[in-house]
Amino acid sequence: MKAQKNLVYLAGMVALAILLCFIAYFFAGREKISEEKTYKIARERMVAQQIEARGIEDKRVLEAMRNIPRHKFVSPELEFCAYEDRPLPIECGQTISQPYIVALMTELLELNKEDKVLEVGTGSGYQAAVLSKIVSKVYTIEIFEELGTSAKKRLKDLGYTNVEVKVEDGYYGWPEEAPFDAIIVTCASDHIPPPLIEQLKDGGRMCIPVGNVFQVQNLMLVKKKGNKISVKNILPVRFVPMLGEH
Amino acid sequence: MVISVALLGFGVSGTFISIFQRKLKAHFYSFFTLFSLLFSFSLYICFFLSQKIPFDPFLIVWYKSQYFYLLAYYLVLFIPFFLGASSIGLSFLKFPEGINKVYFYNLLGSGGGALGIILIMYFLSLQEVLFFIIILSFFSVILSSFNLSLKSSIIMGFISGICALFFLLYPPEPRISPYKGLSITLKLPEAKIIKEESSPLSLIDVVEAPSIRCAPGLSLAYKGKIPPQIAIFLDADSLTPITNFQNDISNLRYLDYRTCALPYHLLNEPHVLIIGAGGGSEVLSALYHQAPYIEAIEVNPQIVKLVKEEYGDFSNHIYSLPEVHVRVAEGRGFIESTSGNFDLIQITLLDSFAASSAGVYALSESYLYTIEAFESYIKHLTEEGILCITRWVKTPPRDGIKLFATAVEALENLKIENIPSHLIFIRSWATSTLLIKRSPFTPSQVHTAKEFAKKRLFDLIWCPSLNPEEVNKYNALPKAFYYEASQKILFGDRDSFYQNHLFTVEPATDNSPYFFRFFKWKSLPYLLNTMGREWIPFVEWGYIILVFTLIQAIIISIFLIIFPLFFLKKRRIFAPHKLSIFLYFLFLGIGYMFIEISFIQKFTLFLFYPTYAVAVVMAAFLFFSGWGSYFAQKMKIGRLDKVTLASIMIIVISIAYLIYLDDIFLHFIQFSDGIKILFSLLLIAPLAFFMGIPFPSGLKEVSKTISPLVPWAWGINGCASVISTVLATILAISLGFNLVIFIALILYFLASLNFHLFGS
Repeated sequence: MKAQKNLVYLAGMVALAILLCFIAYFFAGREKISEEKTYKIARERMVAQQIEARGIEDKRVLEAMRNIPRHKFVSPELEFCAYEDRPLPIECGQTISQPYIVALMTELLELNKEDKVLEVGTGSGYQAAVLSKIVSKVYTIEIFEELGTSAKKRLKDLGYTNVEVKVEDGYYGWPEEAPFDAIIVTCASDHIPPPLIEQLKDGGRMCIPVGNVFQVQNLMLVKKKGNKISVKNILPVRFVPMLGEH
Repeated sequence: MVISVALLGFGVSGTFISIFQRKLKAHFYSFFTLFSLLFSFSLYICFFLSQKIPFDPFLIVWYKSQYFYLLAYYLVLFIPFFLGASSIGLSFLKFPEGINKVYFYNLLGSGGGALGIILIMYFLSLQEVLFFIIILSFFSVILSSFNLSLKSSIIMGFISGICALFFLLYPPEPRISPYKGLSITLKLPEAKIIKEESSPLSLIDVVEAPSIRCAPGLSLAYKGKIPPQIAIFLDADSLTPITNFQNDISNLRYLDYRTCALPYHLLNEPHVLIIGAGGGSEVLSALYHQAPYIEAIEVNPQIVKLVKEEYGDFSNHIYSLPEVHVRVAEGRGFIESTSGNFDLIQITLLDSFAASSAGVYALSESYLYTIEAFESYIKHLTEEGILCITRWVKTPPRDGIKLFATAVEALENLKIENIPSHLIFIRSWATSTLLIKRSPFTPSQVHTAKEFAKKRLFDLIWCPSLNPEEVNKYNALPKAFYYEASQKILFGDRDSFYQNHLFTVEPATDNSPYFFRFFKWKSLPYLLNTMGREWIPFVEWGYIILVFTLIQAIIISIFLIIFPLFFLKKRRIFAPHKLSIFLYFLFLGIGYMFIEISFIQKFTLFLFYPTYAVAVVMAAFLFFSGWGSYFAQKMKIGRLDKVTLASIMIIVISIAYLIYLDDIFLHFIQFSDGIKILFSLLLIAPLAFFMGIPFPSGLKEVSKTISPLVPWAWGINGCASVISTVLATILAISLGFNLVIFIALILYFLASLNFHLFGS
């Protein structure tokens, strides 16, 4: 009798445990859903307040940035501020650019669906992910092995199949796949590597941020037409030199 | 900031001793030993902790937590100064009759330490220097423990020995920001440090990596390679490369595709002076352009040694070539002392772009880019000679504009006519180069310059007979900002242009040598307005840190020095001139530090190395002020007369220095460092001697008449000193050092008036 009682008691406990597990699973799932929802809202807000408000109009850029989970491109401890209006540190003294800079650089390249783009400086892979939503093929080179390997895995896991990642010195570009319709250089250098200019298609565009990793001062937009190369400096939006003018 | 932290330690220790004086005095030897021991520990622990604080100036505009880290730095570094000062203060308390002697030895040690550390740093690394100081402090622990029981002495000796061994085996690692050039380069594939050296001038790292390629502002029209390079990093950031051109001059063609190559196209086989030779890029450029005589000036002897000896094979022994004459000297010092004239004076890019664009150098004095410096360079040009200065192009434009304004004002001061015809100014996407010719540029030279720029996709900012259609073509800015600025400086209302510009673009002078400071208080509302709305905040972090340091110095010093004095035994003090006493010590505190800080800056022009200037001036002030206070007690005149005499002498000597110091410097500038250091000590001696008199005389007067106010006098003086150290720099940036000294003299005068009110 006593053994039977114990058995019932044990079965009851097991049933309770299973029930609790189900409840936990249910709420954990909901938690996950709600976390994703929160990030989606954060992305919408990011695009509206930081990007559209500053004059980015390219719908494909806005759409890409609305859909790409930027928080998955930063370390877990920085996930909470992934959608804030600032650059974030990643490994190797590098950064993931401020969302607005990513959007502006992408817009400046005036990309078409069938374009082939080279990115020098993969970083966490966020810029490549944005490009991949707009063009047919993205080639990205990262010199830091630590960054390149993790970006490759991240992009693959997140399903960005049209991105090729290579760990190598980006100075020499990707001659096997050249020429490119557009090149985006996201790593700082005191000069623009001559091989990159050579790998730009006739009519191609190249965008380079100038400044240290935390203070992009301006963007250089290099255009190649025949043998002619021109550079346009894109300055902070409302810069006026004289105090009386604003 | 460091001087301010040290003074805070002394100020707080004064307050602490005042509050607990009875207990401390009763167990003097125990407390003295304890404080010495804690001081020794704190040197290690606080250095260790300070290296754990993730303060990073690059992040300050983005992360508010950085302000707390800065505060944490201030507080952590304050602890050793507090403990050390407490030991000294305790000795004053214990031996009031021998206070002069104790004070004198203290200042003798402080002065010796200030100079000695420079010497030691030539032989020991940073960590070894720290260990050396810790060992010294352990000696003081053991010495003081001799006054305790034998058992205590043995225990102290044992603890000191064990800890010293531990500190030696586990030295704290200095933290280098992960965003500094060295940290980033070391992460590159196959990158490694192949040589590390330290000295009082800088920490040097030589790094080898296949991906090192340095060619600042290289033209987009250049198609070719850059020869192998190794990088020399100064203080983990500024990079200067050593280039291996394999003894084939054609490998250096890339050097002709930089803005600073222009003067070589305008001159034929020039005799060149290069200021800032570094790893030798500009020397190579001169060699590539067939200069028959090259005088290369480099401030850092270690770099010269590396290029010449250790990496002589890699550099193809460029510093040993017969046409290259390398001298270890500071650029401005060399130009002031040389009698030679040159066809070309090249001033190279000396700072890193990353640090420069972030405003890292905003508070650094530079005597290379002042109006007076430009005048000296121009005077050392041959009749057809050219001065060539290159700077980074920053956005919004500011460096280049200031450079141009400096050149124009220097030419005006030299009474040169038709100034526009003496200037050519070009820019690439990254660098701008200004050419100043002693005689006007010829039409053929102007034509060559235009062709040079066109071929390399460089933009003309200014040259004689320039068409507005010719500007802003290749590296197009939204507007021709540079051209417009040059027009306003040359032909417009220059003063109103300076006044209305968003940044400080008026030239720097020797009196306010802050070329890199562009911040303007007037622009603050606009700059704050841009934060968050624009993509970068324009505020320079160097300036933010200075202002924040002042605010925290005020709050902390009031909180830690003045506030605790309210806990002194409550007793109403009836004194008729409490306000006078307060003002006397306040004015002395501010006046003393204003003069000391200004002299540090003034002597930088003479001694060239800021590290030397800080050490020598501090040592001189400490040592001779000590003598002043010592002799003040021996003088057989009334205290009132002593203070009056001292104040008059301080004012007279300071005014004499304000008028004649620059001329005195000029006469002695060509002497060796050793003689100049000795001479500096002698120059400061009389002023420091008299500056040492008012404080102890005032203190003695207060202790005689209203002794409960003594701790307050200490506290107010300490608090004023902490604040004025930072305030002096802030004022000097806007007003110049001469005015700061003048303010100090007014304060000394007012202090002496106040002394007449409360002195007997």
